Amino acid sequence: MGVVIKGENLSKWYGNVLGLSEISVEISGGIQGLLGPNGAGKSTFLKILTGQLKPNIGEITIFGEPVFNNHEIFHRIGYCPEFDAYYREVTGWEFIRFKSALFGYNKKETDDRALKALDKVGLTDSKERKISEYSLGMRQRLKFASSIINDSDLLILDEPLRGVDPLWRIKIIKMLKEFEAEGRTIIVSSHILAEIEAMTNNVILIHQGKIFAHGDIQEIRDLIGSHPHRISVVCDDTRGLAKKMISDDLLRNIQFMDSEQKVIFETDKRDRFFDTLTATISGSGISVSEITSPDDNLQSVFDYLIGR
Amino acid sequence: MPIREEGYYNWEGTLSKSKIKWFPIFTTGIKSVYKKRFSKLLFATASSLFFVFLIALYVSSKPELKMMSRLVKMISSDALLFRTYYTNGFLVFMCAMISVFAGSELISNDLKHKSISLYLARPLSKLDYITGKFSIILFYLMMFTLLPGLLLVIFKVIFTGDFSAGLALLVKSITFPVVISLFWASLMLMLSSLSENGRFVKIIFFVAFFLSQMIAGMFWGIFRNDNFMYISIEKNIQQFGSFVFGTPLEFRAPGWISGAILLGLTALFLLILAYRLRKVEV
Amino acid sequence: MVNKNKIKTIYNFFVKKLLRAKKTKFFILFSITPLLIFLLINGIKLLYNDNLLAGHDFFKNGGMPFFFQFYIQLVSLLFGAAVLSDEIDSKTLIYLNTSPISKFSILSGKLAAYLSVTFIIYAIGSSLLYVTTHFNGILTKKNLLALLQLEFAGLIAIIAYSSLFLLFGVSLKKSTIIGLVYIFGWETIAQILPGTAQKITLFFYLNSLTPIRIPKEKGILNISISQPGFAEALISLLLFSAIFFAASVYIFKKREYLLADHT
Repeated sequence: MGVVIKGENLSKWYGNVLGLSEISVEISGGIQGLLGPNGAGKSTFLKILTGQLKPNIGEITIFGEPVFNNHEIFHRIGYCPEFDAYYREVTGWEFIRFKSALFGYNKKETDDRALKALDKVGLTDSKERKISEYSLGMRQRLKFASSIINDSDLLILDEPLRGVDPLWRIKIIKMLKEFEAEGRTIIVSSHILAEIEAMTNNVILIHQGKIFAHGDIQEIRDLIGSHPHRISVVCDDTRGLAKKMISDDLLRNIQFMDSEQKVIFETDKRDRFFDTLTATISGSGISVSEITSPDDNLQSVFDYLIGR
Repeated sequence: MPIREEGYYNWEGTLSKSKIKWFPIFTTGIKSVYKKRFSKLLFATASSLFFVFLIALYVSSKPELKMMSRLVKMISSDALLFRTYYTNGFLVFMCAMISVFAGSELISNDLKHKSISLYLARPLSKLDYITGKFSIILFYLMMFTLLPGLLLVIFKVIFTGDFSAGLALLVKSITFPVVISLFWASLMLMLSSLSENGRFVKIIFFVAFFLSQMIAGMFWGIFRNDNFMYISIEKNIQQFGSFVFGTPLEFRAPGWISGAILLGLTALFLLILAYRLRKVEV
Repeated sequence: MVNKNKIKTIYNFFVKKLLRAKKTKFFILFSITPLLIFLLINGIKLLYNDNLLAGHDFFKNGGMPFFFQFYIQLVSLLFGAAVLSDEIDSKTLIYLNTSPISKFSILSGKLAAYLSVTFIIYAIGSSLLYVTTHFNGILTKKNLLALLQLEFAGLIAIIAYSSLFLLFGVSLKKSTIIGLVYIFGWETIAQILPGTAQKITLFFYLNSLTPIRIPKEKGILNISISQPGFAEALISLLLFSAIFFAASVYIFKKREYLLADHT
């Protein structure tokens, strides 16, 4: 798939406050997680991406076209906004049908698509109720439904799972993976790293208006030289295992936690380490009950990169 | 000094009980109104009447100047000075504008953002909440009524060296703007509690103000009976002012009734406000 | 590009929404206030065996100023400024701005919806008042034409004021306060200013469209300008409306609307 989103040298100011600083990014396909702490610039980036804001410097294109003041492009984009905004006095059905009709479908297709979107998020039974009577989770699902009406090529979701109950979180994540398999591009912004990890390995880390990292979580992790990988092994002979592993130049540090029968290895060469560990364990007969990588996750990558 | 481990530890102090629980609502509200756009323009406009009266006071102490004779005549006595200032049509309108500016979104915004329950989840009663909000509008209203009134007294003494008003008149000159401010504030807060839409609240306020005048004028024009003037908010304020300061009444009907109407309406508005807030779930 | 179906979609959605709104119900009640007053006055007169108030006089001196110097302006301010301001306040603008519909279509559809509802609530009150106050002889050609002219003048007034307040709503944050200053400040003061200041008010032209002229205050130096003719006034008001609307669309297209704190 070609480049879907291309941003070149994007910068955005709010008065004296820098929202984004010289961001250049290319997004091709699949699910991309957009991560960052509060005030990082995620929503600014998404607002520029959805044409709500115009960058002060730089350009952004989607499917090769500029976004700001280009309403036609929204035939191919679905957007689920962050805030809990809804029209009072209208029912869920009226709202979804209205959104569907704005795509220019004929009456039958408008109704069919609206019903299908509501069905996907489990709101068919509640469609005749006013949105003001919905719970937060139902309103969130309704917003999500409004973003998937047009089977868009690009889905932009800003905190899509906020307020959604655990069951529907799983269902929505599953839906997104199905969309990914269909070849659609999805950008998901979230504070909750576990949610992003459940959806994708591809992330864009934003902090202080800049992109700190973009790509596969593991690849990013490998590149963080200042923080070697830590692998924890619980076994019956920690010192024996350490003795066998230490001869290789893989290791930077070894830490023993005798009370837990645990040894923690630090290495810069993760893949080679695991090959060696597997071979050592199978050859030595040491009984291993647990192998974990405490910092081989998004949270750690995030913390290391933003310097916490 | 005890050595503590890192992390959580019990605080051994005592919680001080604030005597005025609504005071933070008041101070925050004052600051946020002042920071609003056009606040300075509005306040400057509202203050302009004070400066006009100040000049007239000075002119009245210098008969040789022969300027602003009409206004000088209207403030020839202390009672006339207070009455003319406080019941002036311009000041009445500016009080309406200040009420709208300071108060239209005080409760409507809290309803819109569902933050009343946040207030009431603190050790604050509904009375504290209402008092805090009330005090914001009262502060600004009295800043442009009571405060200039008192300053005019001081300047009169400075310019003419004479103040034969007496204690009774001084008390009236403080009580009248307080009563009027209570009326405006209660009307504004009551309307603000009726809708989450601040724009709608502003317009309803002006509808009430101008419609009362219009209806009073219509009835008076047809029946030529001064009692219909009691329908008008502005006329009631002016009539009550004339009654309080013992000056010729605005229209031929008992002045105390205007006072009763204003106080009665204030009580009614407060009741409606209390009823609206009772419905808020905590 | 103008897509009529999408404008129609927006129109239908917002008309339905507005008709359910509390403010609409309030303003319908408000529009029948003069009628209630007229009935009350005549009720009192009947009670005291007095001569009933002439309907035409009441309509001329009470009804006309009420509708054309007060009601239409306020209802146009509330609804006209709300075309975009409500979307910004409730953050629902995002749903429109991220749909494949042009800014022109959004504003056209919404303004048309708000104008329709505003006209309906005006027409209810004004026509009821006119019919009641001209009950004897309502079916004469003269009265029917006057009624038609009354509704037409009201419609043009609503279009003109709503377009102006739409422009306020699109470009200013404090559109309501500024609108109120315009209605009760500028339009009132301009009537008594000498020179051509009156020509910079909508009311000046509106007064030429109404079936009964609304008497104006004598100006400073007792100078007043002659009223324009019907056609000139109509063209002027429609032209102003078109200019205000075009300016609104232009600003809406160019402006960024921050709906929430940036993160």
